Parts: sequence; C-alpha cells; structure tokens
Amino acid sequence: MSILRTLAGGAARCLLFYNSGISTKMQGWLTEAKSISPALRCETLDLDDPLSTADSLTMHFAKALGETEGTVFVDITTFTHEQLLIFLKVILALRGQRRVVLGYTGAEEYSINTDEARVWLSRGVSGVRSVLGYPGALLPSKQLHLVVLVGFEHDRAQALIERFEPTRLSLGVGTQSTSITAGHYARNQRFFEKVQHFVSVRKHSYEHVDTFEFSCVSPEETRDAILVQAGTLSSGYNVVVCPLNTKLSTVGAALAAWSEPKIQIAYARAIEYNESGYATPQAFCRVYELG
Amino acid sequence: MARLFVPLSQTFQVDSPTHTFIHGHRGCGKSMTLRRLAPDCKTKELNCSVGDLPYLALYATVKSTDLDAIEFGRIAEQHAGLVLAEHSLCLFVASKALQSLRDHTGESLNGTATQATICDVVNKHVIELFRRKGVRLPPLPGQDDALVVGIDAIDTAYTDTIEFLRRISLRTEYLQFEGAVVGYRDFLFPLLLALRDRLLVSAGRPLFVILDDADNLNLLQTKVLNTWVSYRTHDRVAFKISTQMAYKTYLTTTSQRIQSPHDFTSINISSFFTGSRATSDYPKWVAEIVEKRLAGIGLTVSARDFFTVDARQEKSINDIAQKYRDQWKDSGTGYRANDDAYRYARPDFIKSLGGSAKKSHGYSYSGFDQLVHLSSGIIRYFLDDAAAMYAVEFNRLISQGNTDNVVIHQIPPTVQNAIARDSSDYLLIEELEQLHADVGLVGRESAETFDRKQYRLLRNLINTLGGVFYEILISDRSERRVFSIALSDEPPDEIMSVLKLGVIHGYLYEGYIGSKDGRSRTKRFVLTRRLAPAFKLDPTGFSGYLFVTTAFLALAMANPAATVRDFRENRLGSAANADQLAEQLGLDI
Repeated sequence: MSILRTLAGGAARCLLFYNSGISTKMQGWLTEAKSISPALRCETLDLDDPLSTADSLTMHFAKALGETEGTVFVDITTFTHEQLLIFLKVILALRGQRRVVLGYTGAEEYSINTDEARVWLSRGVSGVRSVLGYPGALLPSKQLHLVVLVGFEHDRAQALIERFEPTRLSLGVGTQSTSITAGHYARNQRFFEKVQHFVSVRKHSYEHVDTFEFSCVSPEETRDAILVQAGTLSSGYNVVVCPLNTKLSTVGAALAAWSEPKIQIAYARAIEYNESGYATPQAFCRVYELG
Repeated sequence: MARLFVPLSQTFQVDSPTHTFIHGHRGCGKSMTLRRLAPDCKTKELNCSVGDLPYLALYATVKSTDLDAIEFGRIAEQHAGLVLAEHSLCLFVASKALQSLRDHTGESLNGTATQATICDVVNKHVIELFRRKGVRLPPLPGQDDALVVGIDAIDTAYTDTIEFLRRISLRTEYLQFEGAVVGYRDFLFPLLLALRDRLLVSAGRPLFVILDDADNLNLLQTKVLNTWVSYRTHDRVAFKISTQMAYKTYLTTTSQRIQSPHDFTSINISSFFTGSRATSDYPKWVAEIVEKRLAGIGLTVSARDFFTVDARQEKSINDIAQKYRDQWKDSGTGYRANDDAYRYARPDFIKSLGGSAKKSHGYSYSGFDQLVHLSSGIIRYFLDDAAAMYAVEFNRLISQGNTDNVVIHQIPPTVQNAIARDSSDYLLIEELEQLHADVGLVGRESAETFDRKQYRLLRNLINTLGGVFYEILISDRSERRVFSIALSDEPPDEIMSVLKLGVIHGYLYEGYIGSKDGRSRTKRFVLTRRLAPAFKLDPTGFSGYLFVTTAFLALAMANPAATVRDFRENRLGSAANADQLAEQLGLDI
C-alpha cells in the first residue's frame, strides 16, 4: 500500500490485482486502496487457476499499455511467487520497448501475530505444479535435480522435496549481506537448518545434496547462482527450481529460466496464508528495472 | 539399499498377469513391493537369467511435474489435448521402459546376440516408426548401445511436445501441433510386445509396466492410462499402477469407467497392514528390518530389547490384568480370563492417570510393540521416529562425555515416549490444529478457499474423533479401545469429501464392514494410531468401532467440543449392545 500511496498521484493508469475469495480484512485493504486512488481499476486473480491468471494479466496489461505511454511500474510485493512469475512472462511478451520497473517493499517484521517459536507465513501444501510459462524441458531420460531457494516457509520446502523425490538436491540460502534485515537472516538460517535436518534423515534417498548461497535482493546475482546450479543440465539432469525466498530472488529465478529455458520453475500452493499477521513493511522500497 | 532390504511377507499377488492398482500412503512399502519385480531383483530371487523370468517387469516412477505441465490446461478441452496426452504418456513410458531395461538388468543383456535383438527391436519400433511419422531425428551417433539410441530418439520426439507447450503458455487462440504423434496401438504396445517376445525365452509370458506414483499424471493422462487398462491386453502387457491414494479418476477417454475386478485388481497396502495383519505380519516385518539395520552396525539385539518397554508401567498394567484374571470366574465378561485382562488392563491404567486427554503425559508410549502400533501400518513412520530416537540418544550420550565409540544398545523409554509424542503433536498441531486456531483471525467462513474450509472441517472431525475415543476409553463400556467409525447412513458429498481428504493425507484409513442391520456393507474409517499420544489413547491391538450418522459427522465437523460433550452426556451411557459387541469382537481393526 505504501508504494500505491506514493506513486498513485503521478500515474496515468493504475491497476490493482487482488485474489478472488478475499476475506473481510482484504476487503478493507481494497477499500483503502480505492480511497488512495479513485481512478484505480481493480481486477481479480484466481490463486487456483494459473491459466485464468495469465489471461487476466495479459488482457489488462495489453489494454493499459495500449492506452498509455511511458514507464510501467509494478509493485510486486504481494504477488504470490507463482503470480509474479506469470506476470513477468506476460510483461516480457507485451512490453515491446517499454521501460518496466519493479518495486518491492521488504518486510520489517514477519509473522507479527505470533511469538518467535510459532512464526508462520503460510501453512500446508495442497499441491505442487509447474509454473505457467516455465515448463522447462524435462526429458524422460534424465534424472531430477531440484534447486530450492529456501525462505521462511520451511514446511513448504520440505513438501516440495518430498513430492519431487529428486536424485540431486541443492538447497539455497540467502547471503547475510543481502538479507533484508539481520533478524531475517538469523531466522532464515534457522529454517534452512530445519530443512537440512529434514533432508539429512532421508539422505539415503538422494544421491547428492549440496548447499549454495544466493542474493535476496539482486535478481541478477540470484540468476547467476541458479545458473551455476543448473550446470547439471549438461550432465544428464532435468533441473527444477523452486523459489521460496524474497520476490526479488524469484525475479532472479525467472531471469535464470529465460536464460536457460530447459529450467522448469515449480510452485507449491499453500493452503493458508497468515493474512492477519504476515508482515509489517519496511519504510522504503527497492526498485529493479527489468532489462 | 539391498543390504537393508527386507521383503514384505506378502506379495499381494502383484505378479499375477492382470492390470493391478496398488494404493498406499507414502512410505508404506508399495514402491519396494513393485521394484522387486524388476529383472535385477527377480533374477537374483529366482537365480535365473532375464530370458527365463516368468515375466519382464519394467519400472517407471512418475514425479510431480514430469508429465503434468500446467500448459496442458490450455488444450484440455480440445481434441489435441487428448492426442498430446496420449502421445506424451506413450513416449514417457517407452523411454522409462528402455531405461529400466538398461538399468535393471545388470550384465544380463550384454551378449552379442541379445544386443542385436534389442537393436532390431529399437530400430523397427522406435527409429523407423519415428522416421515414417516425420520425427526429425538427428544423425544417430555411432552408439553401440541400442537402448541409448532409442532413449535419445524418444527424447527428440518429446522435445517437440515441450516446445509446443512452451508456445501455448500465454495463448488463448488455437495453435496446431505440427509434430509427429504416436499412440498406444501404433507405438507403445507393439514396442512392449516386441521386447517381451524377443527377450523372454518362453512364449506367452507377460510384460509388466510398473508406473509408480501415477497420481502425478494429469487428468487427461490418467484417462489415457485408464483407456489402456480397459484394452484387456493384460495377458501380454499388464500395467502395475501405484498411487498415493489420490488417483484422479477411473474414467477412460470415452468416459467409460474401468472397474475392479472386471478390468483390474486392486490392493490397498495401507489398509492391509491396519487390518488383521496389524498384529501379525506387520510387526514381524518391522522387527526384521530393525534387526537387520542394527546388525549392519554390528549390534546383535532383538527389536524388542532395543526399543525396551517402560518396566514400571508394564508392571502396573500387568497387576491390573492379574486382577481381571482373578475376578473373571465371578464377574468376567470375556470368553476367557485373558480376554478381560487384555481388553481392560491398559485402558484402566490410562484412566488411572487422570487429567484431560491432552494434558496428562503420564502414560509412556514406549516399547517395540507399541511403537509398531503407532506407525499405523506405514513403515516410514516407524523408521523416521526410530531415526529421531537414535539421534536423541546419541546426543544424550555425547553430552554426558561419551565422546569415543558411542554404542547404543537400547533406546530408553523416556526417549521413545518423547519422540512419539512429538510426532503425534506435529501431526495434529502443526498440520491441523493451527489451521483452525487462526480461522477467527482471518475473516468469515465465506471468505475461505475451498481447500482451507475442507481442512478446517477435517481438523474438527479429527479432534472430535480423538475426544470421543478418549471418552470411550475411560468409560465403563465393554469395549473401550475404539479407533474407528462406521457409517450408519449415507452422508452427502460434502461430508464424504472431508473423509476422503483425511484418507489422502493419512489421518484416516478406509475400509468396509457389515452394516448395522447386517444386510449389506458400509464404509469404515480408522483414525491413524499415530495420533494416539495426542489424544492419550491406547494404540495397541484390537479395537472396536463406533457407528455414526450424518448428523453426528456434521456436528463433529462444525463443533468438536460440543460433539464430544453431547456424546459424553447422551450416548456414552448406552454401552454397545451384545450383538454389536459380538460383531466388533469378530474384527481386528
């Protein structure tokens, strides 16, 4: 909301996407957003239907781009990872020569309605699916190399690992210097260790497990880190990447898949999000211009 | 892996020449059961060559997004969707079959004549067919392994499909697939038949295609597979299909339903080990696994000595049991003195500990037999807990200064109990209870997603069942160890879908029993014994079941506390009648 509040006045067109089946709390946010920008156009996205998400994003962006000129600024903070990846694919197809800038407000605090021991952002996994636009090239003859960018949602990472049962597994952790805050880094380390422990008790299932670091704030650095992992493409593996950390690192996953289309990106659909206490925003936002 | 492998006592007749579905929760042993049919295992078991095997079983696992790219949704309603679903599944199975032949036959196929045979089959049924159909195969390398040549050619054909899917990602308008397509009748079946006919010495022996984790196919591919099952080719090519209880449909591409036993046989391994084998075959198998693993690290110790019981607790229970035996002549209800002792001693002990169902931690979930019961027929649950217990005990000994050559001869009951309780709490609290706890925070029920509502209802149902079963355990009913419900009417789809969700996630196991009127069969749902510690229930041995109505289930899903209270106040007093009890006693659940 902070980005909308700052930029709405200078925008020729303003589009807001929200998830269908919203709660009363979200309804309140929607009302607030409309009060900030009366010309705001609100469109729904369906969390369970990536095809309609893509169609809706395509239709509304195509229309908005046709009606205006100038820079497109997109606040990616509250997209789900899947929606963000689909959006990036859509904007890549529609942008032409248009300048596209992404804004991301990091979280000052996560899970503000719980104590440290019960921190949660999402719960449960109802399904795992490939992300539309990122099918990769999974050949039947190859074995699976799963690359996970671990975040706070360790149970989601575990569910992915369990569902995929990869032959080779790479667990990525955000570097300390690129973490949003020092506190986030410590917490992320804790969750990372939980995932590592989960993997270690099942290590007989995987031929090879390793860890690597990526940037939480630089899409290019994350892309490069993923591409290093995806070097196994040339040695007989299918590579699936699951971004579960910051949205900027998810942009990095998209860049990696654009650079190497054989990479598939997968998404674990959460059953529930901690809507009432997900996070408090930082007082500033990071911007990234899509190259 | 082979060093640790202990075969299941049952083969479930999966090696019969029929199409077979094998259902079971993750970790119940179904993959192992199927994998041992593959040539490398079977030739060792029968001490024969591949050619002399009674069948040729080729193994394939379907992983999460192997075949189920979300882009398929773009063409799901078009005829092209069906054609490409069959095309992609044919290529996938053919590739996996050739890989299995390469990876699961050891040195058996290395002979010059056999290689020539394989080369001939691959050339005729893959390379030449693809060329006729217009697949643009790159120049074949001077590869002398015909299987690799075939696998690479299939990859090439498959790549066309992937490229097409990539192109339709964001397109809503129709786009024609211009690559070559193959189907079951013109490609896969002839290829499999040729492999069977040319590699097996005796004529008429079948080839099995094992498809592990077929839940991971998309809906169209599932219908295609069902159509293959409906072809009745099982005497020549039979499919062995495993699922993790979430197979999408039994409909074919023409909307016909394949049915058991007409079209296939069906086995549910999870239910099998929670049935009568829960107290016979399963513990024996688990003990063999434990003892083999311990022997692997140089320990000769029985599973029961390693996972030792809480001696004090067992003595108290035995004392109570002895009282029942002493009283049996005068006031016993069972057929034998031991019946009453077995049935009531442990529940009485738990009851004597007092406290509410969730707060009292006095009862110790320890001892090999109790741990086996807690794993609820799923070997992975036992092994995961055992590994955690071993790690805790290892760290405990290290922290006491035993830094050199730590050898663990037994896991103390306190450690077993702590891990068993943690696992149970995790299952109940992490995965279910917290979902409910935050419902009030996030808005009105109407705002919930379908998924979330279903999980909330399931969470309520599980809590109700745990609470009700505990009330029965500490009551004076003649059968106090109840772990399952049976339906006394036909609940609507909304309730059945919640029960189904419980089955898919391993909270409930599905089975059948005689209906209350004795004239037909009805569904029975058994609560996983993994939750016994969370509800302070007795996980061991025989238990009865509770007939429930739609009204009970609806209330249970809406309000667990009220349901348990209502049960305690209005229904608990009416102990099971003699007929019902006799019926219960006839069943091991």
